[in-house]
Amino acid sequence: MATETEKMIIAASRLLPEDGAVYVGTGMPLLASVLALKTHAPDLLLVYEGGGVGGKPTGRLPIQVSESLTYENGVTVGSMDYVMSLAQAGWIQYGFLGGAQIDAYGNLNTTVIGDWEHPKVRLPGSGGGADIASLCEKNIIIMRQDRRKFVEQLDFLTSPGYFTGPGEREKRGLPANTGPYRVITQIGIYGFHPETKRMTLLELFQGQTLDAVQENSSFAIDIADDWKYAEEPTEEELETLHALDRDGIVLG
Amino acid sequence: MSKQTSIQEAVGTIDNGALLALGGNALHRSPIAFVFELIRQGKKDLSLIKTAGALDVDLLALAKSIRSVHAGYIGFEMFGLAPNYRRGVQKGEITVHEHACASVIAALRASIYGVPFQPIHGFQGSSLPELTGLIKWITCPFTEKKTAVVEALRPDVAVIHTNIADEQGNAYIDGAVFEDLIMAKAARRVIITAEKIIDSATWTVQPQIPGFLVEQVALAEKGAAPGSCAPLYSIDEKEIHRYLENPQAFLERKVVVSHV
Repeated sequence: MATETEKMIIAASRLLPEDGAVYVGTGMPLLASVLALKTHAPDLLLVYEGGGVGGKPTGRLPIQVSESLTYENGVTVGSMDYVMSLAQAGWIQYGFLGGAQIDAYGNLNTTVIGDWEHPKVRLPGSGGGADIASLCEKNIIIMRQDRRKFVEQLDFLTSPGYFTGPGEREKRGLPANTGPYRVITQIGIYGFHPETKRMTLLELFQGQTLDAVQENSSFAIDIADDWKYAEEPTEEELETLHALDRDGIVLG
Repeated sequence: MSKQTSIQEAVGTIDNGALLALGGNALHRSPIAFVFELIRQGKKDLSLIKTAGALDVDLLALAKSIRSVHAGYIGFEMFGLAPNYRRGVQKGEITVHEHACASVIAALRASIYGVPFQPIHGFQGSSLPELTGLIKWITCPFTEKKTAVVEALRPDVAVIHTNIADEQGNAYIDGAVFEDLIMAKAARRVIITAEKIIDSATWTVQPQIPGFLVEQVALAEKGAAPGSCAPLYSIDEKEIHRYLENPQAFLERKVVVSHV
């Protein structure tokens, strides 16, 4: 029986294309990306914020975006300026994001809880989030879901989703055809409705319920007419995943 | 003329209130030995520039040495939040110049090109520009497109920890250079710390930081620990956990040990 974390990582891995470039963060995004490399997407290009491009780690997993394992067997290693300008020039199709808060349109907050000038909780800040969210074609958001994280109103908009609905990204001058693509939580996999750009349940993990979707969100989540249960992880996916994280750094 | 000095003397040249750019990224090749010495010498009111900071910024926050931080990210990634930075900001003791990593880089780039600001892509719609005033909008004189710009940031001193340096200040970084080459050009003064100092006639690799940009160079073996300095050593995860469990005890142990 796969754990919630394993299901989330495997679901993210399946979303990645056979080739193309993905901006990788630590933790679940990294495991999902390396899992994709080892399963269906051997030509996927992993790009790390710290400067590593095309790394294919063989031993222990990198646990930070700037450590040297991120460019093991890689194509090149440059600077953060180098990899971030790849996104600015439109070379990175997929990005991963997370956050302390998300709203119905996939806008994210990683900056503060409470008022920015007098924060209740000071969070790490944007990092590469604001530009990844602005510039990548398809962003996959991985985070745990509960009512405090899924909020009606963000305390700070760090990384833009669809703002308040369709056309809003374009109106602000963000590149066309970019934005949040999927949100993966312990409960299910969400997309954004093409007409409203609101978060919509597409797939539910086995063992979860439609009630749990709503109970764990402060905003109303639409349910797609053709929603289904997510396919269970295969033996191969689970074995590969466990081999990647033998020390349980991410999987626990 | 040799630019080699001790880390104590190098830190001695830092004024209270200075604007310091710290090299490295997160827990990697950050000038931690230099930071310990800043704390030991009781430096105050420093402002820091860093794309992604972790232990370096948090230690200085713990020692109440900083007044403000220009950064895109301060935290320990998978290890958690930066506790002392967080407390300092929440109490209003530390001013945050709220950036993304890319806008810090752009601000430094403006300095290396000798221009007052740098256009930047990818901040349309984030609260960052409006709230912080750090990113402003101009109309592009060529395309008339609304364009974000960030003001130049010119550090008083860039402190960069490197793998190898020579007595003339030429310095070599193995692997990711992060923002260090940009910082070295943007700053008014550059201080290099290095794992190893060699005779300038004996280079076998090509240094990326030319000595003419560098004012002082000091030996600092394990100078990024408990962070990493690839390929010489990795993060000491146990030490990072120890720090996060009791930062004060960690700091006292480090400062006392190096006095012996």
